[in-house]
Amino acid sequence: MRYLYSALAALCLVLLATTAWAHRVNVFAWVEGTDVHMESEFSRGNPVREGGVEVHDASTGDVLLTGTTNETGEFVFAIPESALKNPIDLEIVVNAGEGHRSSWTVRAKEYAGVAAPATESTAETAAEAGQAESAAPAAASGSTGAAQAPAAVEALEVALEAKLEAALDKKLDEKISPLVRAVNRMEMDAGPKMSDIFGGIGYLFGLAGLLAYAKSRKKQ
Amino acid sequence: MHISEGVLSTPVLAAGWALAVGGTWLGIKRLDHERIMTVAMLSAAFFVASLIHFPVGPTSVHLVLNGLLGIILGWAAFPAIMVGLLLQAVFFQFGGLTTLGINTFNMAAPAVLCYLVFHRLIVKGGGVRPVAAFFAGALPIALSAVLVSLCLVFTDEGFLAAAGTLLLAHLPVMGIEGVVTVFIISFLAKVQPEILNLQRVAGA
Repeated sequence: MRYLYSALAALCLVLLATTAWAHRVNVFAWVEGTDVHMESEFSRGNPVREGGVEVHDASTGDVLLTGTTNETGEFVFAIPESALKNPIDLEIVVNAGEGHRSSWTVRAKEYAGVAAPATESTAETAAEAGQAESAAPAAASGSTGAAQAPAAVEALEVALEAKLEAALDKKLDEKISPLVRAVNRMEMDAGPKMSDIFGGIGYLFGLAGLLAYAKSRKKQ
Repeated sequence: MHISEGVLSTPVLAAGWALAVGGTWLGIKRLDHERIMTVAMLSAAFFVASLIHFPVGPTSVHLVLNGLLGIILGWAAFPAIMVGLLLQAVFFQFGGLTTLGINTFNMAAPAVLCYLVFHRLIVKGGGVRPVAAFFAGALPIALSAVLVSLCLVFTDEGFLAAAGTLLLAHLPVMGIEGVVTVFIISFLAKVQPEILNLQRVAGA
């Protein structure tokens, strides 16, 4: 028995020496403007090429859109109009083949504040209206123009604010998304810790001990 | 070889659980309590083997060691693999809890089958022993790949695509595990023959 123990112990050590993170599909996604960017990989530097992607409404399970990852395991899609108007959690499922599958959920609050293109255009019309309004009274003589002016200024301010917010959102997304990616990547690359590995082995030997104890009690 | 959660339909998962529980029950029932520690050690080896991986083309594969477990443990490979898979699901997020049954069956059934076929040749010894050991180590990998692909018949991917990819990717694993099994079996036959012969029970 002693030989077997030493042989298996040696085998375990050899195995531990080459430990790496494999065999799990990692998926993560982040919001940029009105797009969602998604990346998936098997293990470090091993992207899921041409994996099937499905985007579901997380609460109902309805498929909103489908696609395929590219050569670097990435997929970008525009948030559906319905979701922009009424934010829902988006579950992104990646099917990497051979029964490997994984998912990531983009929470509604991650894109709830995003100004949809529609609202931008309303801001523009408001601004135009304001200009038209302010132009008209200016042409007209007298005191009415003075009364009209504050309203026009207000409309302009509202429009400007909307534009500014959209621009800021975009800039912030650009700045933050590399950080989001880095954090996600760190989480993904962490892999199993030594404590996980030895914990598992410990459980096995603990179970064996329990079984042996139970059997020895029976014998007596 | 681990099928993720959410891929298979409920009937397939249920059938997997039924078969795995049956095999595990048989394995525990036939288990000689002298061998409990051997089962635990090989289960630990199986648990850790999944961390040894190497890239093959677009995917990566890892060692399985189910053939080695089968040829040494016989029916006890079922409980050993089931517990190993449970721990892999919990600690490494490989596979999952709903797919534990089907994954156990996919890896343990070929191991037991090869045990039934090759064990008596290994007991016989002589020049046939290393050859039998090689196939006992290598074939279960191929059979597991076929079983996994069978499970995927009803998915978008289909049987043939999955089987082609899995078998091709696991050729190196088959080679490595065949050789590892030859060495371990030869070693045990020299220093601890009772480990290999103890399991000669009726019906096996």
